[in-house]
Amino acid sequence: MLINVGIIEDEVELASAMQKLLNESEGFNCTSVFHTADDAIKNIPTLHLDVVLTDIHLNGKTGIDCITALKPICKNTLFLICTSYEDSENVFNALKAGAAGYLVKSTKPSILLDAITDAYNGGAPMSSQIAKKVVESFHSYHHIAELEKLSPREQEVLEHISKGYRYKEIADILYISTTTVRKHVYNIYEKLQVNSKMDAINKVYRLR
Amino acid sequence: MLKKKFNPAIVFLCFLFTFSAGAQTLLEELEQKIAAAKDDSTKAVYLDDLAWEYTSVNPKKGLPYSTEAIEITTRKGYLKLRSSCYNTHALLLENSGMPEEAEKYYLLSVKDKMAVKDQNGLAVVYSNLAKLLRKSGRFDEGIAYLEKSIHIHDSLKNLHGLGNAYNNLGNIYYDLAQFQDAIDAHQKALVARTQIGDSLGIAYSNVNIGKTLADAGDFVKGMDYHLIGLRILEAKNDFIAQVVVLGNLAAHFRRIHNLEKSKYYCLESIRIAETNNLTHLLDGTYQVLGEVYRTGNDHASAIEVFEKAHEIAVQNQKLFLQAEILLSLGATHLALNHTAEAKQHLQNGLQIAIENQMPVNQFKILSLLSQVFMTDNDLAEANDHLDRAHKLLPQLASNREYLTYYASLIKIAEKEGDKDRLIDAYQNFLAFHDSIFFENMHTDVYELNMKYETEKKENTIRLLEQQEEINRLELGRQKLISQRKNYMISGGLALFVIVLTAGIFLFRKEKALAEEKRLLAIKETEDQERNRVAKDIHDDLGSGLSKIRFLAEEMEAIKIDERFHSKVKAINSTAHHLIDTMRDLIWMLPPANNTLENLLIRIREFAGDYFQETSIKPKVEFSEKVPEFILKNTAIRNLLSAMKEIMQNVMKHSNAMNFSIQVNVDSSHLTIVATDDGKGFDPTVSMGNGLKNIHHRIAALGGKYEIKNDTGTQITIVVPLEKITRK
Repeated sequence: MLINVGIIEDEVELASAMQKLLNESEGFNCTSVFHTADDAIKNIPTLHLDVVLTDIHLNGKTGIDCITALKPICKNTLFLICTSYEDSENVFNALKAGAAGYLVKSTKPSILLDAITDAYNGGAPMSSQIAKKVVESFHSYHHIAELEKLSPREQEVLEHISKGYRYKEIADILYISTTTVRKHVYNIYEKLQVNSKMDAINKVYRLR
Repeated sequence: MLKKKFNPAIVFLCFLFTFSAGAQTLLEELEQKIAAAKDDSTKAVYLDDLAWEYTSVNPKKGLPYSTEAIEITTRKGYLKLRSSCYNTHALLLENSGMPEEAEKYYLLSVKDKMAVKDQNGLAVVYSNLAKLLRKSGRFDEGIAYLEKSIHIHDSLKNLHGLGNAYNNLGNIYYDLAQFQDAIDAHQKALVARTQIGDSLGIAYSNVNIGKTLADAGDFVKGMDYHLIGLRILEAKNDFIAQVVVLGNLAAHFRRIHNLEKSKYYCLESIRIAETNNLTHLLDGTYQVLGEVYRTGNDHASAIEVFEKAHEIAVQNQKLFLQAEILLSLGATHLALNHTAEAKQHLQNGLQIAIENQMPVNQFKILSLLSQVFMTDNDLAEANDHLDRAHKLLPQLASNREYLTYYASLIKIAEKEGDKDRLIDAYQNFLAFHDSIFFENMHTDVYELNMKYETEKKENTIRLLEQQEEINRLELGRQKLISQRKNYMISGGLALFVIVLTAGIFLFRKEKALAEEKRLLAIKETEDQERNRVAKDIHDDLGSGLSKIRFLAEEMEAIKIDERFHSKVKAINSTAHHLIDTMRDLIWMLPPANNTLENLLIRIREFAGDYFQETSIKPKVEFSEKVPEFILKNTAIRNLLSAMKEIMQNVMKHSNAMNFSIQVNVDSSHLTIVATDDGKGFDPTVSMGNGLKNIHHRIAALGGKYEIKNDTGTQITIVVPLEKITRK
């Protein structure tokens, strides 16, 4: 199973290094690299990519803009934000915009590739700081429909992540598999996105 | 209850695609091209193009061009081109108010398209034909054509055409009050339009879904769709659709008796229309606004806007709307006892209603006219009109209208003093009243419910707004305080003199206060600075280091020269080390991370990551409720480094299976116990660099540590709280 990956990164050398890494690793294929957001937004909808890695700071627009523009059109593409550090406010905003997760650029290549595969298989990473932000934001959403609320199990998982436990440990504590933990995290991301959209709508409503 | 109502909005939405502002120059250009055309086929193409440009701007003017194009293509036998000319001609006829003729030409176009086997074109014409049939109320035929159109578009994967066809289908179902089908169709249109990224199409579909939902009773959800659509329209500067959508919203809010909101949306729609020369779209909106004024007993304003609405509706040749507006005008004038004006408007309206077979409006106007005559004490005329209204009742099949009728009858009978008739009318009135009592109650409950839902939503919004206002005020207050602090520092000298004269006691007190405030200001600036530095390091240094690491990684894979290779490897590991250090630094900088609990969480997280790819199982345990201490920066740095050092030792030397850290806090000390089940070591023999490091870091915090080697290694660190916490 070949994962088709696209890259949005304004640093040309870094982009080509990442492309090379992907193409030389088994299971990945990367032929689409974009150096500007506009270029990416124009071309990605026709490419049917599985995963798109995007940097946050691009010239002019941001990776978050890319995700906001592309996510509604490319339903079957996963967007992962590439960041230097996992606790950034930007990462959180990208998640709200529809990113399926984030990659820490500075980690070892093998871990980087694992993270892409994990995300592709429906599991995304989450740090304690992001978890705290997620908890906060769910508290701030007013009228969440029953379906969009976090389930008790998801709350439990989130609570443990925010206390610094890793997926493996949470799986042990809650007597579930790591795959299930990942699935919960994946669902939390989805709900975060839905709710941030509702929030945006409410904001528009408020301006009237 | 859910009455089908004519609404100009969707009809207009259908035409939006072809509307363009720079039309004039394009028209001139095309005329020149026609004049210069060397052969018939070129001429016919440009004639068709020119005629097409007139379809939405001035359809009657386009007719001669399309006629000529048809003539040429027929003479020359260009079937494919002729099919397009027929389609254009039909659209021009349709927009010029000649539906029968239009239908004939659409069918001719269909015939040609079939002859030349132009499937895609055929699907488009079917869709156009359906739109026309919808206007004439021939919904079933329209649906049949659209099903064919959708089938073709689907097989050709023409998403644009598919979106339009589903949109038309949704509109027909909407007219038929089959709301669920309408929503399904519009949702399919939305999917098709989303796939090709047609943002305006997406906006229209959202609006159409919103409108249907609102009419189907889910007002609140409909509102959300409307607002999504409206947001896109705003972003795309599509003023025409904005005017229409705002008008829709105004009408919806009026229906749930939220007059304030309705008025707001009316005025908003009018404002945008006026600044963009789109007042011809305002007939419906003015009518809604008039009704809002009338309900609020502002009759003078109501008449003014009704008259504007009427004028535009006449220009737009919207007969149904004209009749409704005239009815409203009549009712308003009657409320002011202007019977002469009321009569005139109502009689005009009546004529339109009779000529165009609008039984409901006929009935309403006749009943109202009867009331007007009664106000004038002209009982004969009043009776006569009410009789005419009565004759319409069987066609209407609505109990509500019967009720209106008997209510009017009661009034007349009262005036006449005809007791038998009065009793008869009363009995009938009561009978119908009972029969629609439940219907009424149901409607009332429904409306109350909707009102409740919207008000709930609005209250939440109001609360949010208030919260925002409070936050804003709080921010302003804090600013003021910090400004005052600044004045206090800069004006310190002046203060000094005043305070001296005021006496030594007061001086001391004031100085202490100023000092406290100064410290506060410093702390605030420090916090801001920390956040800024964290962000800067993050954005610039972080991405630079990542890049170095990534490139070095790439080079490390190339093994040409051993010396070169080892240097690259060194660069790589240095970069890696720096990135790690920076990660801690960044984590430490924001003031919110200064707590003991956050440090412990960080240690747990680090352990999880650090041992991730090994067989060692880390466990970091501390109590659920860690006491709230703010730590000094030096304490955070030293403790974190010491713990990392310990973990490195475990990883490199211990061969352990399990590793645990237990943290305990009492009233005076923080105790950390790190245990592994590895092979252990003799601290008296081997005091490596790592261990020395731990020793220094703990000593710097005034703490002690102890190493035990029984069945593995246990390191206990004890640090006095007063040395590591900040006040």
